[in-house]
Amino acid sequence: MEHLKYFETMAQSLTNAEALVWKNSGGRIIGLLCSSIPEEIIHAAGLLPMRVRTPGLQNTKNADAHLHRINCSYTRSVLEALLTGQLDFLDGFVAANTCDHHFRLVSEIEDKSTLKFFHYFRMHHTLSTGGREWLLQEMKKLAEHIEEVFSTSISEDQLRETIAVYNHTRRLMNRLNELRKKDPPLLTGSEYMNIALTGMSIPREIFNQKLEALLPELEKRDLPKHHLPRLLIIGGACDSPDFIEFIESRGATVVADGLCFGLRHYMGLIDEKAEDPLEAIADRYLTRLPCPAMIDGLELSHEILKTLIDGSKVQGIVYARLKFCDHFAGGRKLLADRLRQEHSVPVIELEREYNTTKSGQLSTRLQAFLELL
Amino acid sequence: MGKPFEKTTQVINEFAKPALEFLRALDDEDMKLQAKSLEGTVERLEDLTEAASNPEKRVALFEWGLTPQLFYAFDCLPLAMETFPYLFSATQKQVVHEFLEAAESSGLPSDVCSTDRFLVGAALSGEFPKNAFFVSCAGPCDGTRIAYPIMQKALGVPTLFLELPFTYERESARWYGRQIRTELIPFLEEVTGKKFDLERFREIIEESNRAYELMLDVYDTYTTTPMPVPSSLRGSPWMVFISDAGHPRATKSIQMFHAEVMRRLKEGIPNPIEEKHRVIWGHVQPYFDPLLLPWMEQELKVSVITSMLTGSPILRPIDTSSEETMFEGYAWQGLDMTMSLMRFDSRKILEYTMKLYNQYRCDSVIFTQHVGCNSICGAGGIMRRYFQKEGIPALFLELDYVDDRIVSAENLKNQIEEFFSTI
Repeated sequence: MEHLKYFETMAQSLTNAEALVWKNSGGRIIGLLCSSIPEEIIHAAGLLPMRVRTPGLQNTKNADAHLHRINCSYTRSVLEALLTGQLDFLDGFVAANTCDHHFRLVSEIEDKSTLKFFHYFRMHHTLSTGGREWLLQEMKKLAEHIEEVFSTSISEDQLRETIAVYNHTRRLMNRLNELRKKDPPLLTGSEYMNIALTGMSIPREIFNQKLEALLPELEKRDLPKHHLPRLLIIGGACDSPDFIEFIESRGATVVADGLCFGLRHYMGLIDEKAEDPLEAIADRYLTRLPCPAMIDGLELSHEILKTLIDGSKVQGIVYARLKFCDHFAGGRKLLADRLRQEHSVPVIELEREYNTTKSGQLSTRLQAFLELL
Repeated sequence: MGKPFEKTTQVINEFAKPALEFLRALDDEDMKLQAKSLEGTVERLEDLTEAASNPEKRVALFEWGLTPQLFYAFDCLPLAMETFPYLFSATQKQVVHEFLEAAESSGLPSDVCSTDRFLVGAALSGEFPKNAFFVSCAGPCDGTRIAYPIMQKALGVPTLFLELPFTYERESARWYGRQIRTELIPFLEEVTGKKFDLERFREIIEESNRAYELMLDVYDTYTTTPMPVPSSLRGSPWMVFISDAGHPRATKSIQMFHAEVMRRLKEGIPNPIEEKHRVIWGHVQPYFDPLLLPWMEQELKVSVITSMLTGSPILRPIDTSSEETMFEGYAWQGLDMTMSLMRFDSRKILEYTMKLYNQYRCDSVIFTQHVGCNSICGAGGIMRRYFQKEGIPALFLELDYVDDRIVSAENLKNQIEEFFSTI
């Protein structure tokens, strides 16, 4: 599968071949720290939005002098990458206060970064009318800031073009997710993650072309039948194909996700006929799988996850929470309570550090859980 | 499952009332002052516990980002939720442990802020009444954002979440004020069955303004050396205001405090405590040991003059000249009340801390690194670098301000003593 290999290679590094071509041809890259930041605005300005990850980084010794040990390992890893020059290829940053970890990272980046552009996106934390108003205000501020710093303008037509490109991606990703629902799924969880990560790390138009080429290959794929438990993985900053592979290597198949680096990024279409494209973009962010940072997001989360559990015939849920992540701790409790009451899908919480891909303890717990299934 | 406010009633009967009698009987001006402050608190808590068994009453369980006046305008009994754990941590530690364990048994990890775990545990243990409702902002921290949905599920009572602006300019206060008018007021009308009465709200705001002006005066006196009251009493007017603003009882309590402070200044009665060091305590000081601040004063000659989150009025009283100004002022007050200040980014926290440091003529800083607070711990790096650069002596104390089992009072004392012996 040549095409799959392409996605695996692209996902391995932020400075992948496609990003370098973009950069070398004068393109600018803006790092984003959260899937809740409406990256469509950045794309519409002709910039490349790239979700910041730190693949392979194992040590946060420099960042630990600035952020606290109880700040999550994702934020400390990003700061480490920044301090050690690994993010110097970026032309700017957009960071948000989605959670307290990100909130404090905002100030550290502002303090340390020498990049041309830094924007603090003040996140909404409700899905209410007030939350929508706030999100729209912040989106306008982001657009204005980009226009000012990059001496550009973001027209309504550009926004509409971007919406079409992003909707195309999301339709293709829906098609990809349909393949995961098959029995057996036509791609593994780790293969899916490589594709999802690539979409956040290369120009969107190229990603769409590559995915269009891959899908027919996958649709024709003939895999042997198996009876491995079908898992849904939920969490925030979980972006390691190796971690998913580790779970699958214990004797399971990951058929669906509720991850910031997965479904949360790709779910939901934007209304292409809406009068105001900015409002249409905002509405997509308010109706996708909510981050547990949304204080009133439980009902919507549950509704979406229930559809996912039924549609993908999920038999067990792995809740991959980063240590010290309060939002996903609360989200897990509420979700597990609800699933216990209304469904019979067991949930296991695997507390992990951002770049942990495997451990003996995780393995033991996972195997016990899979035996239960 | 306990009865609503069962543990609160125990605190009132087994601790607060006997303490009140004890303090009244002492021949000590400071203790008498403390007794007078406590009187209002006992009365307020008794009103709350009585309301729990009265179906005609509504108990407003509210979070920072709001102050009590609007709830009083709807004849509700307000409880500022984040003050609730402190009632127990200083008096009934076993209740703190019990509630924390209830939350953890239900699946909340122990790395979540103990204030939020305590509140969740209290909700799961039946401490909050069924005739209550919740109003919370979606902030300022992760703990708040997870505790309230869990409590809402546990109690099944009406709940409203407001959007909290993470900005500091006037426009966002006005925006927040509009949200209060368009979302909170209709919610309160629905849960209480009462129409909003603007004039009643104005009267209550004017009542709270009287208290606020007195409080501003009192806090001005803390710039003197030595401060006219001991550190342990310094925050009393603030605690009364955040818990009870708008109630005449609160105004009376702060008025009494004001009169006593002014008398001491006028008559030249010095605080007998020598102030070798004047400290600003950043974030929240531990509440589980009420004797910590007196110990610091007596043993180390160190006075805690002010605190970043619990006791520094920074606004003017609310302008009641129009509905518009009143809601703007009410919104500002909520936004600048105690933990809402944690919506400040790290530079802004530092700027605010230094403003207080200079205003109250402090010479050193103690900064809490509350082990469940990802926010204040995450701000520590920027603060530490600034204090080092400016040569400001600063002690960063890792502790849990609710749960004494994490870092004991003795351990804290050792660290504090060592710090002051080096500066």
